[in-house]
Amino acid sequence: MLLFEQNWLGAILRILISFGAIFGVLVYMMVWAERKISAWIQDRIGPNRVGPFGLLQGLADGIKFIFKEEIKPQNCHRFLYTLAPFLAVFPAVLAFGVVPFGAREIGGEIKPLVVADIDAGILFTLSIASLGVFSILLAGWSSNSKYPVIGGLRAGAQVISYEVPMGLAVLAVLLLAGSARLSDIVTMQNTHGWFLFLCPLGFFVFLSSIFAETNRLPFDLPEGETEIVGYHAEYSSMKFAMFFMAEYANMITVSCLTVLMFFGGWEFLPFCGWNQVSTFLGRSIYADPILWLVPTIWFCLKVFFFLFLFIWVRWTLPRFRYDQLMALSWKKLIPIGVVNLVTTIILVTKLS
Amino acid sequence: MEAIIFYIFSGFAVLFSLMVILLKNPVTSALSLVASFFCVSGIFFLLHASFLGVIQILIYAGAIVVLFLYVLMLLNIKKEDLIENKMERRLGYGGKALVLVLVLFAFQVIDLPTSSTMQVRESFGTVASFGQELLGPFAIVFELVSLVLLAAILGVVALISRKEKG
Repeated sequence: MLLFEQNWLGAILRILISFGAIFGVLVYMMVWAERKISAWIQDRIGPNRVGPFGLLQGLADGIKFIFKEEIKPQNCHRFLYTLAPFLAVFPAVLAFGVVPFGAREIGGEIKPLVVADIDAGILFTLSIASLGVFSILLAGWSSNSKYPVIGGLRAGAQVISYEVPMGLAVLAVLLLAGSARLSDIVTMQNTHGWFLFLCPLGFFVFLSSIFAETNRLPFDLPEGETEIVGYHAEYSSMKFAMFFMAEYANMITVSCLTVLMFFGGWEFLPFCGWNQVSTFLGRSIYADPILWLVPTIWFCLKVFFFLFLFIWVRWTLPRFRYDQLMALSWKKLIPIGVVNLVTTIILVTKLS
Repeated sequence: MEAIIFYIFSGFAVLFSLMVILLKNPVTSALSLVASFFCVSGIFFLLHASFLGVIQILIYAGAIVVLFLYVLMLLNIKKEDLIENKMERRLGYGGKALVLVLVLFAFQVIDLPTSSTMQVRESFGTVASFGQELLGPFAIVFELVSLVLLAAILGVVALISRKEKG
């Protein structure tokens, strides 16, 4: 269960590879993809000057952000003001540590590819996600300015409110899987069909709440600077950019979770996992030295679809008003989540 | 190796707990509390009690301290209120609390089993075994606690609706 039981070098390598992959590559590519896809939706070309297809644009932006003048408000709380952007990035990256992104057969046993396959994996992601609110509250408060404080309280209330329907949806999945371990949830979906078909309402609730949790449109009130002031109004330079890096890292983590919980993780198709493909091919995919990458790539493709959905929705839907946002969570999503939970309980007790 | 990690976690837990009471700004105190909870949760993970470790973060850090922060931010405490020296009074209360805690701690230490070969089950600390314990031997206590929580929720709703009328 713990990292200490295996060899240390392997553990450190796994940590470096998976966190390096999410930060070094995926976040960078997400920024580029967002700009390209938004351009495509709006019938523009998008970044095309720096590097092939504008691929180096992110690097140029990063350098620009680092060299920008950093303005600190005079009476801010210096330590917390600096800490808040880091606290935004930290939970997004930490939650990625329990995401299994494939499996390999080692010594006749199929083991998930994951940094730490902890027993309470799904609860761990929930608890880490609940830490994101600290960065929002502290960024608003430490700026020592009236509007960011109000913005921080507003955004904090939003994140807390949407944690409730998200938790309800996760509970239903937990009941269906009978385990909180993320790799068990994937195995369970391989035998019982994807949870998308078993609790479609839960998927709908979860999808709506992750949009709010990651501060993406249509729930991105902190970013709507033309109509409302957000918690990061006093931030500039790289610290400002870090809030957005955190947003992209969060998007990647929650997309992984959606795929793992409702779309069968790295398994091939509903009711047809890689085990069936292995028997069809006559050799085990998980044990093959090259073919084991196929489930991982398949998982990545599913995740990319959800990342695309995030961008697609952003450039399609208009922004919610704040009261509509809160009403949606407390008056619509939470009752739907409870109904979903009760039907899932009935379903599980009938089946077993 | 586990011993080293334990000392790191417990050392930082003590350090952050001290910061909770010694720091002047209540917001930084609340944050030190979160850091201390993190260290305690790390110790739980080290003991293979992953469920407790996760719940420690989810409930205390993620919910209760956030509530503290909301209240502290809305109170708008000014610097002048903080500078006032209340060290003597603090030491008075703190001393009494310390004596109480030490006495309780001493009782716990006396109760500890003398042999060091404690056996725990293989499933110790997992979500499944935790749930079975909670709804098996401790079912009545568990339901009573949930009643208390329900009463708290209803109380808040009642208080707010009364205020709105008046």
